[in-house]
Amino acid sequence: MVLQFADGRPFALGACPYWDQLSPDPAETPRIVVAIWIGDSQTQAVVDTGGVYLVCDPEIPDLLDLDSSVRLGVATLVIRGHRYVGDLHKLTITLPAEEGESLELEVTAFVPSLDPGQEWRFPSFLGLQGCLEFVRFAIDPGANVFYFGRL
Amino acid sequence: MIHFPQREDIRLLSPAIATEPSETSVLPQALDVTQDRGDGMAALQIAAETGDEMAFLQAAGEIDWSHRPAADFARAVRLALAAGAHLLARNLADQGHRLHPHHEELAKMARILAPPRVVRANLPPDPSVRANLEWMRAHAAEYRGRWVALKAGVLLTSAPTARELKDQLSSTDGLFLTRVI
Repeated sequence: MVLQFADGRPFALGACPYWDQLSPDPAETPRIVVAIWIGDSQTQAVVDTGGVYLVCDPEIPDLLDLDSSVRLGVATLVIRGHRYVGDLHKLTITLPAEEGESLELEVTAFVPSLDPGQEWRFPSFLGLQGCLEFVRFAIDPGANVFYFGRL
Repeated sequence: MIHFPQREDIRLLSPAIATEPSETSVLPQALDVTQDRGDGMAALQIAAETGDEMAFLQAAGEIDWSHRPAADFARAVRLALAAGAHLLARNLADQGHRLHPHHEELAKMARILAPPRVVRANLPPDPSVRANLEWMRAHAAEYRGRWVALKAGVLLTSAPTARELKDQLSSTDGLFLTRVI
């Protein structure tokens, strides 16, 4: 058991290390970058409590076989001031624990479809609505540990 | 007092805005609130076209959804997604699906927009996480802008695009795959 309430009930069941930067640039704004499994492959995503859905890199479908039967087009998201159109998918992801229990979630994912000439310079994001909204989580910025558990 | 864009406002919409995603094929060339059938859908459409989430929420709140046909729910969900009203889109999809359980599009919308859920919570720990993290910390600067494939903290290959990365791998199962920002 990783974290507990005062009465002994579990707060979080899993813990994993997180990156606090996306790039080696020491001037970069700190992030919470965690590893996630999407299907059978692992990738990284930034925790974004102001965002919605799991926002995937637009090239992710080139790597992973996303089930088109659970795809809904078309949604619009504004990401860091840029407007993106894309599809919504239902995906199963896993938050892998280094200590304790890993957590498998079914979430809504947004996969942008880039227009010709449109660029993607962002990581993937774990948003709140549609993704982390029912996950209990906490961070220890002293040890770069991301704690998580089910409600 | 709710302000909806007036006819003059709508005619000022640029072509880029007026040909936005999901509703492209059903939108008239120039939207006009006076053409509203009185069911509130035109106001939703206008708010979605102008990307005004607050106006969209207000317009949706004035509609009595309790007896609306399935097509109206499906259209409202599409418009809500275009307007950026994602929580309302979820709620409309859910309400529409409950009222019209045999409507396939609403069923799909409700499924995809449903709140996330925990599938399993008793999965074993995964020691590869830290190894991949350590590799990223040590080597990311050398691979900026490229896609990399790692296995337990060891670089397998890199490529400028995800498609090229996949072409170099016999399988992506069990690998850590990311674009280095």
